[in-house]
Amino acid sequence: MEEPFMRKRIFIIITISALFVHLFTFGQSLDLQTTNKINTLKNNVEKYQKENNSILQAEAINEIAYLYWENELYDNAIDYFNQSLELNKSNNNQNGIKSLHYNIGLILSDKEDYQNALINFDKGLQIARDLNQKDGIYAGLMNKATSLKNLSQYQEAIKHINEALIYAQEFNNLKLVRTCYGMLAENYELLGDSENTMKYFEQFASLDKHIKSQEIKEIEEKSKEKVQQAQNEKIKTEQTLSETTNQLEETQKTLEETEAIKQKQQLELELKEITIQAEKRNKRIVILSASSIFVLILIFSILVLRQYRAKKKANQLLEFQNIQIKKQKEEIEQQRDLAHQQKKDITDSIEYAKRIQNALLPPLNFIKRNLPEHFILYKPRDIVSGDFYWMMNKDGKIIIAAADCTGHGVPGAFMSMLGTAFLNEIVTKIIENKHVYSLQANEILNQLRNYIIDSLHQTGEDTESKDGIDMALCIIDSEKQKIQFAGAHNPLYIIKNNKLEVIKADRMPVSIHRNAYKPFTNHEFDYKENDIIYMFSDGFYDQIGGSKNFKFMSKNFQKLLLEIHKKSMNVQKEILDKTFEDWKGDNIQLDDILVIGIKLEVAKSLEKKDTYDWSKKTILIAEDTEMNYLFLVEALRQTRVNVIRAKDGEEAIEIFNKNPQIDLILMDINMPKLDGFETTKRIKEVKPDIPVIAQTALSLQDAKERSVEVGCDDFILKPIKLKLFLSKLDSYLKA
Amino acid sequence: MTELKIDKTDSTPQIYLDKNSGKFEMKGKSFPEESRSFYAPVMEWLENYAQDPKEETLFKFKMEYFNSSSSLIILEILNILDSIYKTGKKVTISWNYLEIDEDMLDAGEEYAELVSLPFEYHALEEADF
Repeated sequence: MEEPFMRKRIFIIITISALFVHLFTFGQSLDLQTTNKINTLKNNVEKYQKENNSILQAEAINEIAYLYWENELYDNAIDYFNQSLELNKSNNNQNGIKSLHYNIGLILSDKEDYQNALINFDKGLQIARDLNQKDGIYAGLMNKATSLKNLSQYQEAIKHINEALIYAQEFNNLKLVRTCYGMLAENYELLGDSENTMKYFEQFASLDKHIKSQEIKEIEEKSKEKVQQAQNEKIKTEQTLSETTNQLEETQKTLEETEAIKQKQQLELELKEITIQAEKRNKRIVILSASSIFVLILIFSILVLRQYRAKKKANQLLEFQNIQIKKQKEEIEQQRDLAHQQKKDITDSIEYAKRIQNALLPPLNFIKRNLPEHFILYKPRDIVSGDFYWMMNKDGKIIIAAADCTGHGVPGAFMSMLGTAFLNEIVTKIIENKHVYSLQANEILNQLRNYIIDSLHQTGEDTESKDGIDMALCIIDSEKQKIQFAGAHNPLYIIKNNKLEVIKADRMPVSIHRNAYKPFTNHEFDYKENDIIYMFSDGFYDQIGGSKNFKFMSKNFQKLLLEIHKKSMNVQKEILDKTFEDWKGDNIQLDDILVIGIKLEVAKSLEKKDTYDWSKKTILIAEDTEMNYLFLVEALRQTRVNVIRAKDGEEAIEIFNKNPQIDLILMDINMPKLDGFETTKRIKEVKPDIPVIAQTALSLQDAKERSVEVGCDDFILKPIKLKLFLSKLDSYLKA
Repeated sequence: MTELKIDKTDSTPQIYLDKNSGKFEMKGKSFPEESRSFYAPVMEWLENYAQDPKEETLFKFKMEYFNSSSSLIILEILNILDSIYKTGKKVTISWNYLEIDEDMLDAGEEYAELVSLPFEYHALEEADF
């Protein structure tokens, strides 16, 4: 019986929500300024049309369209872009037509009409291809890929991104390459292809880190200047403020003095009046003549008049002084406002610095991928923090650090940025120098200490600049089930079999110190699945609070961790947070807080990596792009093959002729001086049986055909798929 | 030489330095806004004292908490006392800490490593603290 009612109600709800959607979508209205702008532009359109100036006419129409677009009036925007499209078509402005299709496509994407967006992107892309306009092709491919992704056509999207990637690499534009990697990871993730997702995500992350570290260097400089400037101005204003306050005080003093004078005068006046009255009375008795009375009245009047004038004058002076005080008060208020504004500016720039600092921390999903079971409790005392954490994955080993820089707030944050940058550099360099097998936790701290002492010019003589970092650093090797730990002041806790073990840190910071010549101690130990480690700064257990206003203390911290270690990571984090807040109560937070908990896992013995030993083989890599070369070296590193590099075709021939031991050549097709085809041809003329494998970035059929035509034995498509790549090389190196 | 007496606040310790009675004490919590300016009179007093110290100095610390900038100042105080010790006078540090506060014991031990002064450690129960 109820059903019809229900249906009716649902119908009403739908209608109402439709109405809302309608209001939101089409109810966007333009402000007066924009409306005026659009009207002017519309008049211009008419004017240019009359003048037959279709180029300016199209420009004005575009401007209108952009304004509608900015104000989210999508349909109007599309309408105007279409008008412009017609004009451009009649002018045969291909570039314009391309851009307009892209714009319309983007608006349609905003409207979530991906099917039609795709059609427009495709039209634009076709034109870009006809014009051989590479940045246009890149844009078109990426636009299409986005639409395809939204239409759940992930394979197609990946195909487009791969092509776009080639262009991005050709432009040598790291940001575009990063975007490609990111989108590839996204699409593979949606496809459920975790191997490729990981692969591209890692490439994205490492490139992202590289780009950000560059950007941060610049921003850091700028914000430093900005803070300094604001601080200088603040000091200046405060000086002026105090000067004005002094002036005001003086004025007030004058005022009080004037008031005193005024009272004195009044007193004198009254006194005189009494005297005169008395005289008058006396004289009345003595002299009764009318003339004497008249004289007396006259004298009296003159006296009264004089006093009255003096009083009036004093009042006028007072009034004048009042006005002046009011004026000064206003000035002071203005300056106070200015000081407030400047304080706000400083806070704003620190807020901005916070964004930089957060950007420097490893992204949460990156940590999640590497350490599925973990928590990070991170509570800066001020806006920015002197505590920070850092993580990197190298060859399946996870390097993670919890750090505490001296001080908190801005000074601490500066140190934390140095720390992050140095750690990145140190660990990356260790890999690049191929000392990967000597990756040692203490060695990282030793090097970091050198970096800090050098860069802060710490000599050990000046007692006032002993800024440094306390740190716990671990290297987790889940394949061998081993952990390395090195600590500067900050220890490591490990809980296994319901027992908490403290691995003590060295009693020195990462900075100049009496014992700074001593290396940090490297601790190494085995672990079992589900053992838990905790890394932290001292902020948590040094917080003052509780009923007796004591520190929380590490002993209680250990007890708490032991009590809660079996709970899920998220729950542990919540309990720690709540315990901390309860303990702190009304006290201020004294320091930054950082606690990291990690439940250790054992590498799910993935399919055994195919291992190759090519230590007796030599490969010539002809590759002009630095990044591609580094990638190949990295891909080949485990095989221990000897690598020689040529940066162009001519150099490749030269090196090949001088090195008869070369077993195989990886040939980039697109190279300066002599391209890969020509180089291969010439090498094959000398030694026909040397295997040459072309790396063609372009997946186009003709590139493949040509590479075979000039005598390449095989070819590999970029981006390179590691397994396939190695097995292919192996087949040639075995032969 | 006049005595130096600073009363404790929520964020600064009680300090009492008196050459006549031979009492040298610092106790409580230390996290002042500006630690260097807060401790400036203490440093000045100690530097003067170092010019003409007593034959024996027993300096008593009884700290509940200090932040990292205060910890640097404490090291500087110990360095001044160390310089007196190195002239052949007897100087001893009495390092008092709340029994369960191992972190404070740790801090004392670390200081002891950095100077040549002898340290005496006293774990106190809550009631005596």
